[in-house]
Amino acid sequence: MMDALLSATLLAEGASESSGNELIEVVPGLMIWTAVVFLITFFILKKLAFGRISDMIEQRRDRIAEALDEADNARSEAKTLLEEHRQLIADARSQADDVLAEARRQGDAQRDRVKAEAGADLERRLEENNKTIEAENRKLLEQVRREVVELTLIAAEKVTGKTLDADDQRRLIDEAVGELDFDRIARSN
Amino acid sequence: MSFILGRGEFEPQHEFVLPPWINLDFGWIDLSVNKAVVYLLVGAAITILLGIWTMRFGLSLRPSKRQTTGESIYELVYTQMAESSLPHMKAIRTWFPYIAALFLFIWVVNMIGFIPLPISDEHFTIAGVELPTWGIYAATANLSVALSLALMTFFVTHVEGVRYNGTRKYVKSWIPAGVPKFLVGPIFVLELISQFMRLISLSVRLFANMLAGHMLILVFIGLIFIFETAALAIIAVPVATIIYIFEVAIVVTIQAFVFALLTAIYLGGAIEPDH
Repeated sequence: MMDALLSATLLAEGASESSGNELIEVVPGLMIWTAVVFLITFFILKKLAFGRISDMIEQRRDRIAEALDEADNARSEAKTLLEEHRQLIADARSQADDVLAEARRQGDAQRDRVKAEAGADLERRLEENNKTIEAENRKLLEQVRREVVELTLIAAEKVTGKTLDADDQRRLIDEAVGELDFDRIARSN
Repeated sequence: MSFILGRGEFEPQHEFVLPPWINLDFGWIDLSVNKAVVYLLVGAAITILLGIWTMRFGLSLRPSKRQTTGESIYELVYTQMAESSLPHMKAIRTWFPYIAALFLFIWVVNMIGFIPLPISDEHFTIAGVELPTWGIYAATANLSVALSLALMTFFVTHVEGVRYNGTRKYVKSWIPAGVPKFLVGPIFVLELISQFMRLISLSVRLFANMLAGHMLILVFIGLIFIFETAALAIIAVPVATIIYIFEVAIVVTIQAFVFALLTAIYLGGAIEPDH
């Protein structure tokens, strides 16, 4: 193994002596080739590749900037709209409360009025009914009085056997009517 | 990875020898096409296709996975490198493409350096047909490639420094405020050296990291051939695999990122020295 390593080292040393300098040899022709080939590559890339991709990146940057601006505007607009919306909702709620309160107030007033009107109407009707009843009572009493008078006259004529004159009739009527209790009659009706 | 497969022979550095495939030696300069150049060309083609595929076609405001990949790469370079290192929008607009291209190019060339490809000097024969050996090789593991990229950064950094500040102000910016007069000279020399050290550190960091990764993988696999013991594969192959995964998952991206980020920082420092 050591022999083999030694021989390898010797071979490497021999190689270095024979052609090792070629590794660090500067060859002007190859340098010129390198410069020419690189410069051609540079000009072609500059002309055909870098400009296009640069434009595209710029365009995208602009679009992104626009999109961000639009997003900012949309956000602020949405914020404004939200504020307006909130305000509208608050106004609507306030108006609804007002309307409700007004409706309640009007309802209460209406109820009171209707109640008062109904009360007054009832009073009026009761009064009218009382008046009608009194009138009817009076009419009935008059009728009863007339019938009592007629019956009294007929009875008196039959008892006395003579026709009564006007003074007799008046006296008899007053006596008969005076004996009648009209209040009891009215109550029984 | 391809080897010199003789019994007991193992020369991993041969992977980095670059014999010309198409000879273009003009005397004053040798522009021959070799393995590194082919890897660079393949890397460039893939970088361009990757860039165009992820960053150009079918782009939409609602990105697909492909577009998201492209945008992620773009954003990574833009925010982590350009925006954080360059002082103002004008500088970012001017230098972002350079930094991004540098990052993508180095990343792709690093990455294909770990994908076995039939791009090799060596061949094998199957049924009388000679085919290139499949191997791994990173062009960025070559000092010349890394140095060339670093030199470009070095050059544009100082050009921008002078352009924005004027030569006098730019050179004066190298001297920290409040330095006593008798120290200005030595500090200027030190700063000058440090500027060149940046060049070396930038290139050597990339080159050495990529070279070391490849070398480690080659050496561990090569141990099997050096010791001529198949049983060593039980240790060598898992270790080489772990190194391979570490390189692909971490080193490839980190090296590309560091190179591009340092380029951005150097440029930012040159454009606005007080930044």
